[in-house]
Amino acid sequence: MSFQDILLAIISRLDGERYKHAAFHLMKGKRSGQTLQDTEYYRLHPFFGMLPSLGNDDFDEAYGRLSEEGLIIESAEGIVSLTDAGRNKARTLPATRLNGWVYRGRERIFFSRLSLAVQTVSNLAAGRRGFLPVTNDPAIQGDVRRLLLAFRGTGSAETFRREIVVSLEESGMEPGRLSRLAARLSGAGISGMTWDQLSEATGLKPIDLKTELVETLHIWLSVIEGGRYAWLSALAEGIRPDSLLTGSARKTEELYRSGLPMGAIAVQRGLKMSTIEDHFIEIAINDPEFPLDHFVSDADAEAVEREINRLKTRKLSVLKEKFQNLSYFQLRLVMARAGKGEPHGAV
Amino acid sequence: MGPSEQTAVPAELTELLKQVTGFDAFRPGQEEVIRSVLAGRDTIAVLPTGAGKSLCYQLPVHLTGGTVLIVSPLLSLMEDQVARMKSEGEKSVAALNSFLTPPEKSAVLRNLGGYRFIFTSPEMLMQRHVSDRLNELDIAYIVADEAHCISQWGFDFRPDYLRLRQWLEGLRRRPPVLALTATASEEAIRDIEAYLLMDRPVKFIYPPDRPNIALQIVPLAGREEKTEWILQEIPVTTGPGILYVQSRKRAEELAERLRGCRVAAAAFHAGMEKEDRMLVQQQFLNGELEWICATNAFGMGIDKPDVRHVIHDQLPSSAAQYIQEIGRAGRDGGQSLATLLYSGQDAETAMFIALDELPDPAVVRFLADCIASGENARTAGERAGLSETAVRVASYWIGEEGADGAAARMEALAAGKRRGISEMVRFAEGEGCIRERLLSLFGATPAQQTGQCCSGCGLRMEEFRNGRTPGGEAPALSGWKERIGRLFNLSTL
Repeated sequence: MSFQDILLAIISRLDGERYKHAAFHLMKGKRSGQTLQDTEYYRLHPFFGMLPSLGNDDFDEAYGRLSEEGLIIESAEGIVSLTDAGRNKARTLPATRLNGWVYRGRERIFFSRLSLAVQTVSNLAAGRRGFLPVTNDPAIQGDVRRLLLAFRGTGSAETFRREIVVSLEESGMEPGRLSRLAARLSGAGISGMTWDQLSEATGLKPIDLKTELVETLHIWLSVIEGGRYAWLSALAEGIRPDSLLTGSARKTEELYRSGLPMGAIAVQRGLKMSTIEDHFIEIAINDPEFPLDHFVSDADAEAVEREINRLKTRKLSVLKEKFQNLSYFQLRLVMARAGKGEPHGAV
Repeated sequence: MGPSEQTAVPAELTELLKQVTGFDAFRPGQEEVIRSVLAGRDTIAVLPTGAGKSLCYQLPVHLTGGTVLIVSPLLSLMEDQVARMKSEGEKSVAALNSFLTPPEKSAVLRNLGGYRFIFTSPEMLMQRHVSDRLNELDIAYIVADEAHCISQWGFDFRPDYLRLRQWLEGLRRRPPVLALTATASEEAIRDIEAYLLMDRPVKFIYPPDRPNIALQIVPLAGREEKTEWILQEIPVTTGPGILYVQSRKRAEELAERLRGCRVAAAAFHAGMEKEDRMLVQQQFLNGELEWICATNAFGMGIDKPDVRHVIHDQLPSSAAQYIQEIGRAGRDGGQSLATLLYSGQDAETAMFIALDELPDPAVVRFLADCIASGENARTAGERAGLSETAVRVASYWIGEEGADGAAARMEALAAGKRRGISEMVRFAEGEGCIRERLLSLFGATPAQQTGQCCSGCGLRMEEFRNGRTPGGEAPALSGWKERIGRLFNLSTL
């Protein structure tokens, strides 16, 4: 799927309820309460953080084209909706195989390690000890050095190559996609191709190639996580995070679990209350055991959920009008838990 | 054992050279500089680009023991140097700079004593926990790389570099300092001596002449004609080469048109992703690319010995910059060519770009007021529309000398830049021997006989047309299994 198609798929889920930049923040993986909430309500997990270094230019270009092609339309207030043509087009799009919510851009670390490992093995096999590494990142260099030492002398290069080939075959990805993946790798006497070079060779736009590579890596990682490939598993170590919470939210959660109330956490951490609230939303989204009833009564929570289903809306302002007695924070918490399927307040 | 003035200097340093680098002989200047460092003297070495400056600090530590601290103001260059040393097999190297993430940085700091070479930037030295750790080390000598940047008269003055002085003042025991640069005027050398608190330094100053680089100036009417010349000449002259241009857009445009003429060319500029910049460098080193169209914004510290041709599409803003950039040709000593494409409008463009950087007095005062009222210099600079460099330079001088002093400094810098550009215009428009004219800007004269001197003295152009380097294969798409096989060297089976 092209970047533009992916943008259309995202907008089709946010249809008529969000501004243009909601999709941008989503793709970049912004850790704000709003974006995390959107991800959850609109089931946008595959796309969250898919391109952390996405630039405005690429985004605006794709957005502009969707608009020119009459697939989307912006209201006077800037709310984006699909046109009928857009809705028809969105229905024909294939399902994405991105897994942004889980990997959050960390597939790049896997690919850097892989690139450096391939380059090193390739140069050693060619009898060259000195070469300009594809990455200067000392963390990546350290990872690869440890890995190569660990696998030293086990008939290794051929095993490594076979793992790459067999796992990619197992993934079922089509050959064109795999040749674009292989083209980014460097070795003795052959260098990887830049995005511009690949673009010229394939006729695809650089942003589409970048998006495709992310998806390719997500698919490949899911195969590798089956655990049958020793080299590749070592290269993928730590890529799938243990906790889906961001670092700062994790700290807030720890303090909360140790018994501190929200206000005290804000004071102790020197953070604004709104930030702590964002953390709680993040925790509520991620933690199936979140004790919602400590924040909202069961009756209120049920009423809000009924209203969400009745109005088919996730708009905070609409809900706030209806439930003046509840704070925005309480409403956001209920929305975060809505549709999670287990009884509220189960601890 | 600590480094000290008693280090025994073997009569035959060439033994050590052979052992460490595999080379049989020093290049001019290297041995003298190394002996001076080994004797524990403060040393200033002005060696032409391509003379092997880095060897001057790489070798002595093998006799002194301890750690070498290399302070470099240009981050990209530092990264390149570290990568190059590692690729040459020296693994005991670390770079301590702002490119590191906090965990990487603490990892480097933890192992600091274990490195033989530590590259760092002046800003890093000002961080308390860094300088404390460095103070615990057994530092054999300190190297100030690109030392001309410490002088406000240099073409790329880095005020941060002046902080090196504060750091030197705070050292418990001050090891000898080696200042290295390719180009420095007399004013700049005086600044280096003063700012680095040097004690009766030994000076080795070699004229920046590179006899194996022939010089050519081609007068053309304007951009269109330059493009035409480039598309006509590059396909028939010997490469590999670097084409320096003024903007990212121009780099991309020319690279694309050259590819249209079947020249394996790619653009290289700071707007590209880091990974892609690495790939382009690698392709160039491997011979998969023959020409690079690069902006000077990004320091190309890559050491490709067989660059045969450097072309400037635009007049560089100073003689120092020009000589540094053409110095990337012919590092292997082979006959090479440097071509300057010059048109009458170039001065105006160069002037605009050089002066656009510098804040005028009103802006300096605005910045000073903002800083005085407690605003962060960077955000104030952003509001005034200044570049990051401009903010750095201006706020440094505001801190040192107040608003009026800083404004005067900026005026002086602007005047210096204007002088530099006028000098280049006179150089480009002058008559007679180009080499003489260029060297005279450094108070030097051609030292040696050259095979091919310059277009002023007459060039045998056919010698630069004796064939394109076939090079490797240009990057191309292939079947994935085949490519992976090639990466693992199966193609040779």
